[in-house]
Amino acid sequence: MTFGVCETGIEELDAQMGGGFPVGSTILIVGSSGSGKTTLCMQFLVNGAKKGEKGVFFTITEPLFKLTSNLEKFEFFDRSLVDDGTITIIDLRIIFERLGLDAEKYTVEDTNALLGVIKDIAKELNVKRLVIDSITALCYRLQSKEMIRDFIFKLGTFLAAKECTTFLTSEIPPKTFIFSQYGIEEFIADGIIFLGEVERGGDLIRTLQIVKMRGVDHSRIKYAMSITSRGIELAPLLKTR
Amino acid sequence: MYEWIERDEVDFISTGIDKLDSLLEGGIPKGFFTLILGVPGSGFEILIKQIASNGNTLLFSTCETEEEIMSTMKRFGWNPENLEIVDIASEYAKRTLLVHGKRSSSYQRRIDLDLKELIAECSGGKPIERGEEEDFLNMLSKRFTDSRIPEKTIVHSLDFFLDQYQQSEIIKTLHIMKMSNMKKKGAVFVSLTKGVCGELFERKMESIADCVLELEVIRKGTSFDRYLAVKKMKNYARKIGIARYIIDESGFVLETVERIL
Repeated sequence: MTFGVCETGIEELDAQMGGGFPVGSTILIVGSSGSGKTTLCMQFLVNGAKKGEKGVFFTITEPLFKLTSNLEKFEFFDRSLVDDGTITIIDLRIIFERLGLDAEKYTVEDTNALLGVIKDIAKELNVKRLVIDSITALCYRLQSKEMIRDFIFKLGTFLAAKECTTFLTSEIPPKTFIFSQYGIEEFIADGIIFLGEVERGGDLIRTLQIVKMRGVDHSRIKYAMSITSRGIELAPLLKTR
Repeated sequence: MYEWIERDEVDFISTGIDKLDSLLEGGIPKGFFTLILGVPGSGFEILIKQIASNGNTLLFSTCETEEEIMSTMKRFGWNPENLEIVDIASEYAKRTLLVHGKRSSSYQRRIDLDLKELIAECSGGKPIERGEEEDFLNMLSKRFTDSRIPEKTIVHSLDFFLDQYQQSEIIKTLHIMKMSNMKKKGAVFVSLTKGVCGELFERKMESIADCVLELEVIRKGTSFDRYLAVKKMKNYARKIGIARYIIDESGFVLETVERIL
């Protein structure tokens, strides 16, 4: 069985990994608030959708209407992709509510039910790309590291079998070089993209770095990242001032 | 500003128990905040009900439902005419059952979901609004600051609030109640089981309270001796004392009165 690659549409990033992310992998997108996690994930989904791959975006941190109105500002975003169902944006909090999960802490049964619904939706929509924004907010409700490990592992295995590539966003405090809040998410993920910042001549420059990518020979150099109306663009950090 | 503590106007509110009133030389001074401390087995829940059955009373009950309270009162032959019960116990039980019922069936709920409908609902972009749960502690302070309060207000018991809220929040609320009661010249009674929440909190409560009543049970050979101690009475040092009591079919009966001072 050979795996193809899943292009993000961000040229330098795809090139680094020999064309794109391995299909079916689970990638952790790590960054503090405002580092561009959501934008990167959206670009990944939209690029897939333009090639006919269906995608689903589960949001917990941002209400749906705010998310879509922010997206409209990007040139890469095409409203019709959402309207025709190629991309589905789902407010996970409504699922929490429908499952009766209004407590802060979930039992094993609650977690399994939630995992089940996410799987069902992925299957129903037959998606090839899936985003959960953020996995941190979800892990916050799971009571132990074992439950977090189990949740991400089961989700990752199921989606890999469906050849669905998954981006999970991980929120970290600013100016830190850790990969997750609970110290467990990164071990189960197949890849880690770190979004940080460096100071250069008094300016804060956004950076992107591939920290880990199972089965791909990648470099770990830092890229300077800019977010413009065209979306995310990368350039080798050394050449920028 | 402090017109409500003028000496001449001091008047007493009857506890509803004759001997206790005489132990207190008239009753509880108006505007006083009373802490009732008791150990399990001392019958302090009976004392609370006896106090509640007399005069104009508002009772916040956290550990017994209105039904239980009324049936106990009936058994003792007390007929409260002006008693309002805020039944926190029932409300809490209802809420716990509801949440528990919901949680235990998350598996079932998942099975019952219509996936297409769910996807449509979740991608609809409608912001969710959630009904707010009633905050019991907030309810206490609101009731106190908003409206007129009756002659007596009883909170039975603080144990419930200690399970749910931070101690500092509780103390803040009690301060509000105390201040408001001082102005409105009622009598507030708050009960607390001795020894469940640590000595420090008990001490703090004793220092907030204007009056502290403590019920003790001491085993002597094959019988139990029960004592009611007036441990603190702000500005009335003479009223500090201790009395043995029994509980018979009519309620609390205080026996000998021993003065410490």
